[in-house]
Amino acid sequence: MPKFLRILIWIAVALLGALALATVAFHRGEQINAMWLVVAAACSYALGYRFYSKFIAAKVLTLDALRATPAERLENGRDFVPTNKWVVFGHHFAAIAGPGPLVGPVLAAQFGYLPGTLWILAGAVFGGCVQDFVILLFSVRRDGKSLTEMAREEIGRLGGLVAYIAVISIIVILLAVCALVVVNALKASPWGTFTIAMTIPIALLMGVYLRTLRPGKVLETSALGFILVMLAIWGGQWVSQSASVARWFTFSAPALAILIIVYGFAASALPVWLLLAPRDYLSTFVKLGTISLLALGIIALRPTMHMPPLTRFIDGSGPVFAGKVFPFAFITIACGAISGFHALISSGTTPKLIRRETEARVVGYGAMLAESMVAIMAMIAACVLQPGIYFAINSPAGIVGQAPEAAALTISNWGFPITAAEMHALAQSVGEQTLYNRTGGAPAFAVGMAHIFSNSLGGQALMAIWYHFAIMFEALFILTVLDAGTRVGRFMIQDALGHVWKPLGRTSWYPSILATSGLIVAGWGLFLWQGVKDPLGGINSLWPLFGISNQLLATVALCVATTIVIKMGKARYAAVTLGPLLWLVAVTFTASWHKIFDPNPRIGFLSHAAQLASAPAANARLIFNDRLDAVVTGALIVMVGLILIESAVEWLRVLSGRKQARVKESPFVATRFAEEQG
Amino acid sequence: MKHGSPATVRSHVGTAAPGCPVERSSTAVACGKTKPAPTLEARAAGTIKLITARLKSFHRVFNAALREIFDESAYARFLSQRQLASSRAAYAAFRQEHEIAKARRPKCC
Repeated sequence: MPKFLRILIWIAVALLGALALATVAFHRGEQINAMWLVVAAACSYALGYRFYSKFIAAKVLTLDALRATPAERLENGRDFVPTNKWVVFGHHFAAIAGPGPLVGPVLAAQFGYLPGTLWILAGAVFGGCVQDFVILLFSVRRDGKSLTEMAREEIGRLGGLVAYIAVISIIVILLAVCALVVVNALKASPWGTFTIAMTIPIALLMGVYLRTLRPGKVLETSALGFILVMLAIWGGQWVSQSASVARWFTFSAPALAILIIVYGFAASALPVWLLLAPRDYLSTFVKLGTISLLALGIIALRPTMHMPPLTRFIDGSGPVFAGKVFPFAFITIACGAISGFHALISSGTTPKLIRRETEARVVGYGAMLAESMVAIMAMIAACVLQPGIYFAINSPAGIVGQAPEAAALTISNWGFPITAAEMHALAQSVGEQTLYNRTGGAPAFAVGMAHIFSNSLGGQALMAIWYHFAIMFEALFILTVLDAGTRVGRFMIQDALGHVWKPLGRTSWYPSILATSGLIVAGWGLFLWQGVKDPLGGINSLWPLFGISNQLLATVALCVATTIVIKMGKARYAAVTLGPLLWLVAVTFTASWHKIFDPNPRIGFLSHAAQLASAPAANARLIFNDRLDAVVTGALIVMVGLILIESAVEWLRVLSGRKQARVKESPFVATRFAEEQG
Repeated sequence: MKHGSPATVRSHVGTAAPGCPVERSSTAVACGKTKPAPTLEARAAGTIKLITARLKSFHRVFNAALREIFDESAYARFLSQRQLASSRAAYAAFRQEHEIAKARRPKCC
């Protein structure tokens, strides 16, 4: 294509993106179409990928098309396999896409669609994609080393230790939050619980089919499993309509929490691969299919956004979670903008599959852009709902009251009109008894998704089916994250304890398996129980804690990245990683200060504990929970503060010439793929 | 595993064949010979051929990505490395080896 035509095309993309962003940002007083968000996102991503990632690839990282990657040099057909870049892209995207980009934007929609959308776009282009890309490349140049190993080698022993503790902490808090989202989605929902319960026999059937009838035919088996799950969703309506059967599948939140804790322990400690492996495949199949379907649904329907760009809750008085738009919007949305957890995947499996260094750009930067688009879709799904409905679903009983009329009145008084009759009709249309106080984001996302799907395909008659499809989709892959995360946490604890006493590190020694599984499950189980018993719904305290720990892990990753960039002699380009790092430090440290010390009891853990303590009937457990949350937040901040100081000292020593800048890369070996295009 | 020396490989990357200028546009030269302008029919046929090829390539890569995500490719590599045919026993052995590694991989939030 002639150069001038290319320039013209990119100018057109930039102008269209600017127009879409201006419409999203400055339109007031009337509703806008969701396609403006899609266009703004698509143009921002295209420009970010074409120009910013190319700049990073050429100037900062100087990707070398001639350098053999570990996938080529250490090829063993198992972990190290040179793989087509689009295949690695799909693999990487499937690993990084989880419930976070769906739930976070839904919760942040309480501020209106604008703050969350801008953060998703800017955060991804300048932060999340950069983090994923540079960590992936640095791991590729170090034979696929993990983030904690790179932190230890490039920053120091303290850096490695802090990264390790941050990873364990984030896993524990993440799993608790994930479990809480599932509990809130399934409590008092026989249809939803039945569907999820049915995935157990379906997965077992898949396991038997896969192992005995069609060994290795995973895609075929997953497709069959998907058909069975759809039948289970269809059958769920009769379960919910039959009073006697519905009773078996109707659980309170504490009962569901106990079931999930038992499930997590069993998944980690028992050899239940026949169940877990097929369910993992089924979950991935449903996840990829549903995300594609949602994208098609939004494009086909082009829905109108009913949520205003900004709501009154930017002042910090929000019912979904308390706290001002800065910093809380930026920790609530992690995975769609920047997520430290991605650094674990970018320095885990993916670098061992990259065939050529130059392909790290499309995989690291590109896959995160795709994840960010998922977050934009979740934002749209939440904002196509009438705001009154959104707040009725997401507000805890402790804020809006238990009775439907009282809740509707409170929400209407906020300026978002809703009646108890409307909420009742909506609950009926999705086959639920009530949709009030369904905190956690998943039910609101499911109603939004059902709205988009039913208006694109099947009409109102299928609203209940689509709603339960969405709930099944979220719960299924959250449970998969839960069992995988519990096992990963168990292995990490075993690895650490193995240094203390060798048998504890043996992954096949049953006493060690039971003890470490118990330890990790007790960790997230405690936070889950705390969330379930919290009168404010749990999400108010746990989701910010999760956001803080996830962003702190990103801070660690960006410290590692900045250190390596400086040691590479590219200090003049250090702003590429230092910029997002400073932003995250500002966000996470401010959010942590508020969560610990804010005098508003809805925000600050300590003031909430003090308020509880001064009440006539002080609840010792809730007070303990608040203080524990404060200690955990404080400990994370102190650790990340230490790693920041250690990194800064290292940068100064290198820049002042007191330390020789030496990166610990694997030696250069020429690639045999050099003559390929791309 | 064979690797050329860096210098040898570098000299052949990003350059045209020896003696030929770097190609600048679709109507440019192939070592001194000017291509005749294609007819409209030939252009249409070329476009259709290109689209078909792209679609086929997309389908191939899409399938490969799915096979990688769902471990079918890993199983195929396992069979080829050990020179086994697919069977219950082979799949059981693959799962045993594969699941230990898979259990250590984090899944994101």
